[in-house]
Amino acid sequence: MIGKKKAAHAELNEKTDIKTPVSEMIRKFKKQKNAVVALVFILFLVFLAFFGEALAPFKINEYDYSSILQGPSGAHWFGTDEFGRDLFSRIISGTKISLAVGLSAVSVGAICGTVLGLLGGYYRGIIDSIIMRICDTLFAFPGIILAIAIVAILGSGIGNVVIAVSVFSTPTFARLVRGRTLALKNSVFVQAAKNLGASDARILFRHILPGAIPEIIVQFTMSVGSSILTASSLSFLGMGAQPPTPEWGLLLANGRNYMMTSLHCTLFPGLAIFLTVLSFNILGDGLRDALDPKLTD
Amino acid sequence: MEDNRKNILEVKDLHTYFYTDSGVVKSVDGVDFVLKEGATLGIVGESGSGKSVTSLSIMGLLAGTTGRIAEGEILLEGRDIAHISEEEKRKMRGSQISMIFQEPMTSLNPVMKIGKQLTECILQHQDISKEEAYQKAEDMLRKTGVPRVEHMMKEYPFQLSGGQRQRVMIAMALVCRPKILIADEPTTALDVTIQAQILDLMNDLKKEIGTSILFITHDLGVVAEVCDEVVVMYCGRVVEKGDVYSLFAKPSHPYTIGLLNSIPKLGEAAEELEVIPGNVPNPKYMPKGCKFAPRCSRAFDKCMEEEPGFFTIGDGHVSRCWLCEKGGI
Amino acid sequence: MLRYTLKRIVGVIPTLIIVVTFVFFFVRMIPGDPARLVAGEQATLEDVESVREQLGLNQPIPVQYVKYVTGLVKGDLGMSLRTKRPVLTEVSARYGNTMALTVASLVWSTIVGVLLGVWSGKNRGKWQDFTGMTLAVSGISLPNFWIGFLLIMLFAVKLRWLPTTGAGSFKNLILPAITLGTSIAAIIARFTRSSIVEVLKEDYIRTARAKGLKEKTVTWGHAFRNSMISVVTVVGLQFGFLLGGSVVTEAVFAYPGLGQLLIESVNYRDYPAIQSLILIFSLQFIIINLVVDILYAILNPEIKLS
Repeated sequence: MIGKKKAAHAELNEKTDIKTPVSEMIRKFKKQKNAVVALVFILFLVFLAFFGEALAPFKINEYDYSSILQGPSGAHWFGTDEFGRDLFSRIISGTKISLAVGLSAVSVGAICGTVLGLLGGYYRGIIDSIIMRICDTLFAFPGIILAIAIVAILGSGIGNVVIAVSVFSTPTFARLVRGRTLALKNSVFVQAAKNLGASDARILFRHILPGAIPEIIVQFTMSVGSSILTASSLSFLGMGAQPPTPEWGLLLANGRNYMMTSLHCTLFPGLAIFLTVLSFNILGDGLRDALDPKLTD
Repeated sequence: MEDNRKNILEVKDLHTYFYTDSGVVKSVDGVDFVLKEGATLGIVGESGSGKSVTSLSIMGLLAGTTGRIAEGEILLEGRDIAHISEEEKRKMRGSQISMIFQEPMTSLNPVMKIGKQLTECILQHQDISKEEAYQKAEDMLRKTGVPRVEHMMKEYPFQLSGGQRQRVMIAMALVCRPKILIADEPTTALDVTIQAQILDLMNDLKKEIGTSILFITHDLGVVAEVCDEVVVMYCGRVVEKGDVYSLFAKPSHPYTIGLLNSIPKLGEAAEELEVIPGNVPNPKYMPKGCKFAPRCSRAFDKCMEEEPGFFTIGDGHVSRCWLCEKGGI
Repeated sequence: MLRYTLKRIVGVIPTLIIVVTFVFFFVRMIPGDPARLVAGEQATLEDVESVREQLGLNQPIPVQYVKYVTGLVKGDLGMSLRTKRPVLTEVSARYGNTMALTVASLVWSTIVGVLLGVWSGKNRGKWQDFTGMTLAVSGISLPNFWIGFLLIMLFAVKLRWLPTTGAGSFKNLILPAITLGTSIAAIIARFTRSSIVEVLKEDYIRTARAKGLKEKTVTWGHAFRNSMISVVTVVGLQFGFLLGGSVVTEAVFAYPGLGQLLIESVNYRDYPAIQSLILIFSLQFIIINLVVDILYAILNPEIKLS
């Protein structure tokens, strides 16, 4: 009891020293070396997403039957596939697919979830019940099963994967934002804004939403990692990107046919997925720690 | 008054420092006192005075924190326990020295039955059967005066009231009949009526078991009720110590006087209560001279410049105040 | 306790109804004519009509719904279009395999996850913590189809210790179970660690140390015993996740389980089978959540005794 009071007090004292929660978050974030490295790596991936295809040493769909399934070499850093295509070029060109799928799917999920969470938490009553029921139902399906179900309805393709991933990431954000809204709704500053005659929309978006933003950012980062993983899994299963797209999961699925002789065909695409997801997860961890007031020491 | 009781615990020039990222915090900076066999010694001070750190140093519970005993000795019956191995310290805890804490509501494990929490202490230190240990635990718990003991042994902490939990804590601390019981603000979190009962219980059990008590509190009123000797601490130092009669009759440090004046007395209106202005200084920005000088209404130039040593007031009664240099405050 | 359990069971019913309804409408959400899709491009009009009748799609929706629900209650999951056998037969033939894989994965990942989590949490901020949490964050980032391939390459192809594919024996289970359990072990480790870090700050841990208990007893008897309540929740949720997550792992190892059946059914557009499998996966998930809720109460005396 007493310990908690002290902690709350310390937190209060600290809050008076800082300007905004976000600037404080940035300050603490800089202390997390891993997370900074992860962020730099993600920025590098973003660079590759824009310029990767242009910078690639070979054309991604250029067949070269003279160099089929070659191991890594000076010319082909990651080796070649069964059509002699350069794997390195294909992988760096695939960056934009994975990033775009992950970021767009989670953005849609985050926006829908945030709006639903704000509405449910603020207005309660029947709206809240309906929203929470829908979330419960969506939570009743393991993520990948829900995604497969949606792809089965809509058909295979990368666009449908984005829809599927957005659908199953929505309830996570809805629950998170609803929780924050419930907590902030009765806070002094929201009550004060209300008494001053602020409109509901203004209260929701100017007063409550900013309080939930840090947690949304953390969840967003974590979700991007897992969404890239899910999307590549669906492509691997043949339900996502279709050949000849250089999507990483698809490259890996393709590589399995030559696994015995040409391990590089599965090794490098997998490594690309792993490092990308890893950097989003480490970044998410770093952001969460930077956000956590308990970790001041 | 001649005192022939032997010294059960001697703390000699104890320095306990915390090594944090932002520098060394000298939580305890030169503390001396003696606890006589069968006596109750009160350590009094505000939060931040170093009284709790002193008790943790004696218990050997600094492992896992950044704290370390930098200097000094802690002698238990003449044997230094400040510089023994962690394993030896562990064996000593609970059997030789035990401790009860301020927060009875959170100091018991919520998912473990009371009986189990009591017996595991006995089984850790004594080579007896589970049944014997259970019996011992039950007997000890009965001594604390809780109702329906057999039943309570099978209950969880959340089923007990605050006072009952503190009785359980006392039973747990005394079940191995330790030589010393350290009580860290044991009654602060309790209702006033329960406070008195717990203090009585501690006094009774002290006599029955023959344990000496180190009583840590911020409340001089409680000290008057239970202690034989008093040590007043401020900023990691002892500022005044003496036997309870002498100290209450002739408090000789402005800090002690301040603490005494902040106790409500019968027949006086509440608004006449005095408070000591200001706060305990931040350990990183310690004043140069007397540590209490910035809050002291009677401080003069010397107080700011030089830290006083001890001046004798009476038999065993000393004070660390320049006002006592010329014989009196 | 009984009231709590009943309340939980009753609370699940609306979700169950919604899920069943969702799955029912699922087949009807397919763009275009499902009967045409199922019958194929070259099918004649009569063929399409016969498929329509076979699927019961010529009846009004409410009638179809009632028929579907009564069928479910009787354990009738419909006929597989692919194998022309009852879906229930198909499912029960493979259910055991998926369950074996899931349980095996959960057992090892719980043990490893808890040990790693406690080890990291106890040594918070030290190298053990750093190592443990680096392993864990890697574990949640690894694509499991990739781990599967690497394991096959190493243990089946290079070392020839274990079979690459198939099911039925313990040896067949090892590689898929490692693949499937890795991310779960990592999740459990991360969760256990943060729970242990929190619990170790509690006053009763100080009390346990003050009693002179061995550090091992303090960690497992006191700290973990309290963490366990929330760890069980996470393990349970992961169990539900595993049942679904096995889809990818089963594909990698050609492991004849429910996930593989789902993939085959999706590829064949075997809608009765897809519909039933999705229902089964979510029912399992709901039931596991319910069991976890009840288990949570059993472990938590405050709920158990109220």
